[in-house]
Parts: sequence; C-alpha cells; structure tokens
Amino acid sequence: MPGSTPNFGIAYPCVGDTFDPGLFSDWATSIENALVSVQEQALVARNRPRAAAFGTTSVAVNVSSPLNINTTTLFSHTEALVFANNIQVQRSGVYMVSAQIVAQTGATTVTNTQGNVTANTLIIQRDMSQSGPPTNFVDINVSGLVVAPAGTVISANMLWTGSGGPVNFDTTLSVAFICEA
Amino acid sequence: MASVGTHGLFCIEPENYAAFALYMQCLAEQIDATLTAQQADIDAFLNRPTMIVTSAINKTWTFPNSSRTDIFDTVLFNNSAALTFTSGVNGAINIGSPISTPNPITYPTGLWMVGGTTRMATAGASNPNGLRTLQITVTDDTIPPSGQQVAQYRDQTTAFGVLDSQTVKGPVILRGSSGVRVTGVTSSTDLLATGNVTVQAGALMWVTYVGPDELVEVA
Repeated sequence: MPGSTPNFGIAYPCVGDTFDPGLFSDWATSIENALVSVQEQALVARNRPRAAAFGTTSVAVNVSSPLNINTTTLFSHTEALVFANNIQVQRSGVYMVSAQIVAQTGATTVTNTQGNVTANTLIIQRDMSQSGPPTNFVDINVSGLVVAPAGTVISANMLWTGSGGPVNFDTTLSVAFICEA
Repeated sequence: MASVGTHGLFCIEPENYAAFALYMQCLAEQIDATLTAQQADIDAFLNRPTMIVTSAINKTWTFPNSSRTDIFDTVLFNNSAALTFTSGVNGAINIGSPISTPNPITYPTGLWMVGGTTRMATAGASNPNGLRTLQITVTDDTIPPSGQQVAQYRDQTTAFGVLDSQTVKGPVILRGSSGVRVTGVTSSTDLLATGNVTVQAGALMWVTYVGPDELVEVA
C-alpha cells in the first residue's frame, strides 16, 4: 500500500505495490498539489489588505461628525473595502490605521480640535486645546494599531468646539494589515 | 545520484534504476521537508511579533506628583512568545526575555515600530501653559554597563482644555537578542495644588516587528 509524507501527503510506493503508470501519476499529482498549496499561501501572504482614501466634510461646531473619504480612493484591496465614510476590512488581523485631518479654513473661535479613528469600539484620538482662543485649527494626525476581526468598520471623526462654522475638513484615512489575529 | 537545483533535490542515474521506488520515497520526503520550511517562512511573515497593551481603568496623579509609569495594565493582543508584559510601576513591554533570564527567548533583529495613544483629563486647577506628555522609551538593558536608551518618542499637548489626547509612534533598530524594554510614561507640567490629571482607560501602547534591516541574500 502506498505511503505518504507527513505534512503534505505526497504519495510514494512501498513494498508490495505494483509499478504502473497510475503510481507515477499519483506521485506527480500529489507533488503538484503540495506546490499549489504553498504557492496559494505565499500569494495570500504577499497580498496584504490595505486601503486609503480622501474626502472633504463640512463639520458644524460641537457636533461629532463622521468624516467622508468619498472624493478619491488612493488604493484599495478586495479585503479592505472603501465606502463613503469608512473602510471595512474583510480579513481578521492587526492593522495600522491612520488619519490626517486638516481644516480648509478657520472659524470665529477655535477652543479644541479633536480627531479620532474608530475601529468598532476602539478609539485612537488626538486633540488639542488652544487658549486665546484663536481662529485657526491645528492639523490632526492620529495613528496606531487596532485588532480588527473580519467585518470591522474603520472610520475617522471630527469634533471641534468654539464658535462659528461650519468648517470643511479634508481627511485621508488609511489602513494596512500588520499580522493575523 | 545527481543534485538538482538549490533545495536539496536529486535525480537518479543509470546505476540507481533498481532503487526507483526508494528514489520516489526519498524525493517525496525531501519535497515535503522543503515545502514545510517554506510554509513556516510564510507563517512567520504573516505573524510578525506584535503586542498591544491597554489600560483597563483610569489612572490619576495629583499635585505635587507630575507623572505615572504604571498606566498600562492589560494585554490586548500578543502573538509571540518573544513578547511579554510586566505591569505595575515602570511597567514595560519586554522584547525578548528580560535581562538575566536563564535560557532567554530571543527576538528577531531588525526594524521594529513602537507607539501609543492616551487621553488625559485635567480637573481642578492647572496653569494653561502646562503640557501633557506621552513618552515611549525603548531601552536595551544588555548594552553595557547598565543598559542604554535606544529610542524615545513623545507627543505633547497644551493643557488649555479639560480633555487632550496624545498619539506617538516611531521606529527602532534592535540588533541584540533579548533584554529590551518599551515603557510608556505620562506626565504633566504646571499642575497647581488643587489640580489632578487622569489618563482615561483605553490608553494604548504597542510594538510590532517590521523585518530585518540587513539585506537578505537568497542563494
């Protein structure tokens, strides 16, 4: 009865087996299957989910607002899908998420600029208060690692306090696969 | 038998024909071992050592104190035996076993990324020119005579508001084998006698291995 290797089950003849074309066919086929299996895993490993997109959002004072990224998709992936105001990852993993949020104009007064990236319930936030208060916003760049099961929605949000507005904010949101989770 | 390629495979020659079955078995086993090694490389590529720690509860300091070194208390994610976490005062993510550990677990050398994020709430009185700081420090305890800081990154905000958040990240090259600590310290300046600062639960600190920093030659 033919034997087989421990990990990939590659068949080979043993004592008592008859040498015929089928034996060679089984041997070649099982080697082919093993090579295909590893090749597919290598393809998955090289093809890591990642996406980035840009958009503009009008944000009123004191209103926490999801930020649009529907102007330009910089790059996307079949397992990191870009929507109007979020990116959804389809492969479970740890991801590096990042958002750059920049106001196009100032406001009557700006006392706090708060931008964050959320991944389900996890929040990574950067905010800055200003005395004066001034009329200009600070630019926000916030990033970090998140554990994201398949289906996780990743989005950016802005909340500013002060007076005046609304103000348009330009946002670039990006996600990049780090490792399996 | 004649060697073929660079993976230890071989082909038979006329004097080997009587052992054809044995050749098939040996070749199958050699292919199996080679593919298993490649699969392990793929798995390592997909599972680069990564740890994320967080804080389960708020942590506060009150004047005259100005910092805390025990913010992080819970492991949120870890995929490597080379990464451990020590909580408490001067708590740290350990890359490789801590110094002086017998039979230490080593870490992969090369480029790592470290980072963190915190939210701090100020209560009571605070000078509006005060700063709120998150500082991530990487220390290699194996560098003589008593360890050496190899990287430090910080983010600062001004304390004009009640709530301010900090986020920081940066790269570090590690070329030792074990004994590296990554610590996160939060601090404040200009806190007045009736004031306090609270680092809200949900703070994060993380490390992740990017890859070797030296050219890998494939023969």
